Amino acid sequence: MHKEEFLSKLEKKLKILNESEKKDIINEHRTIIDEKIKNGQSEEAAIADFGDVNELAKEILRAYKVDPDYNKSSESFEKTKESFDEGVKNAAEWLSEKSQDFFDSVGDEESDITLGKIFEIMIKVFVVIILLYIFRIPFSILASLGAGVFAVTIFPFSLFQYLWIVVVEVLYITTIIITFFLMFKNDIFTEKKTTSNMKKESSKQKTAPKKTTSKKGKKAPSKETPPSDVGLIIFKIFVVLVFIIPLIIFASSLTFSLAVLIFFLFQGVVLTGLILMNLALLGFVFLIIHVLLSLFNNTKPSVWSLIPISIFFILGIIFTVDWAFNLSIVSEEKDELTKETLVITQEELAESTYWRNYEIRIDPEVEEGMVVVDIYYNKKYENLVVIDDQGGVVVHLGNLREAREFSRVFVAGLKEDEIRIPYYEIKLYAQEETIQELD
Amino acid sequence: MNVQFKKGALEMVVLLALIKRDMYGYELVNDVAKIIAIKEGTIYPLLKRLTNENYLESYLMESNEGPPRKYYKITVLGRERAAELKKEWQKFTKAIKAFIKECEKNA
Repeated sequence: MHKEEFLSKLEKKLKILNESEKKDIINEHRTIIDEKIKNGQSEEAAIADFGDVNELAKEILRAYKVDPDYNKSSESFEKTKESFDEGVKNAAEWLSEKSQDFFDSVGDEESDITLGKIFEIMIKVFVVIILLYIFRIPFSILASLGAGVFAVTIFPFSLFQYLWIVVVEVLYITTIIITFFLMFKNDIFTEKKTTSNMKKESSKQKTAPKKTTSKKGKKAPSKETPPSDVGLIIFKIFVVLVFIIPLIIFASSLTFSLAVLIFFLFQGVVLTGLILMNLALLGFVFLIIHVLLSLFNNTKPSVWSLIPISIFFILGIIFTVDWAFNLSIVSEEKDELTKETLVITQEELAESTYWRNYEIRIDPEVEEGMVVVDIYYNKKYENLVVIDDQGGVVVHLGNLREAREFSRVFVAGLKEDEIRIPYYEIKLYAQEETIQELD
Repeated sequence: MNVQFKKGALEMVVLLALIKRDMYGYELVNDVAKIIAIKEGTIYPLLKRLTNENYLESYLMESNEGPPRKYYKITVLGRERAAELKKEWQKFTKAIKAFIKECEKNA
């Protein structure tokens, strides 16, 4: 381990201490190492005398009466990231060494300084792209699952499938952005430091360092750039805006779907699997919010609830799959439908309201100014299509009535493990001129 | 030597060493290392703690070579503490010595 590396590791572990104390400690250790080197000890040995960095940091924190484990949860993440960074750096160094000869022969003297850095970033970008695809999988499962749940509900609720997809997409993008941010945070905040370290390392590793390089290595400022508080605040605001707010929206839509499921429950339709899954997702969203909030207070988030959440979720999936396999979708064949034909005037048609699901065809045989209306519907749903000759209104498909009827049919179907979708079709025939006037 | 023995004695040794004269980090580390082979990692946190407990004070002084050095100076409170530790230590070692002797006699 090199001096700067050791010191920056130590500094990272002591980040709970205030800036001046931290600086003081780092300086003290730097001078001790420097003195030892001056007295003939090697850099490695001088650092080895301090023992394990983690232990040292713990001892120091204890001297301040700080619980050395204050950072445990994020530490494991830090460690993973550290080893990841180290691996990337090693790979980058290897690559840069390999291609060194080539670049040397080209004769670009600057290239050996930044080459490692360039490779490091390239590898990171590559890894991020892979992560992007891996992250994609659970999110698309979540999206299609939720969308599927909403898609089988009745009209106003079925719109939630789009909202759901949007929310999941937003979550996905947020995750990606945060991953990017964490990955490249070091590169952004401490670019100077890393490059200066890289310079030193590369000039050391080379058996015959070029004059220009070694000069630059000495000139490079060895000051650490402290992770700025402003950056931290911006990051926190960013987290709130891009993460917590969508999560709250997500939670409210989940609450809504739970309400729908409870409504079904009162209608006698027991969708245990979906309710369990809904509860699990709701719990999970709140858990994520809790974890994010604990980031702000620097407290340890309690994640015990993950256990019941996963149990609920798995049970929910089992129940849902079981339910879905027994489910039959009842579609009405065209020949089961009753056909009703009406001949009305153009004016009468204009006065008819609430038309949906219809198509207009040109038929020159129809009388001028008249419209032939063919209505196909299932006798089962008489209430759905009300044919009303009075007052000029011919076909009345009331919005509210329609919604109620849909939900009645749907719920009735669900009770028998069937998905029944009421079906009707309206076809209009008229002369071309009449149609043009209608528009 | 047993690490626990070392740790117990370290605070007293550091305080006593600083009674002789003010020292900077590296100097102190070397001085203490002469009698107790111990990792520097243990000394620095100790210095920090002793400073926080007002047994030590620190000040910066320019050096001929390199950056200014941080010197540690013992306070009045620190001297009292050193005396107390020394007394405890002597009492303790005397008791232990006597006990060892007695054990050897009966053995």
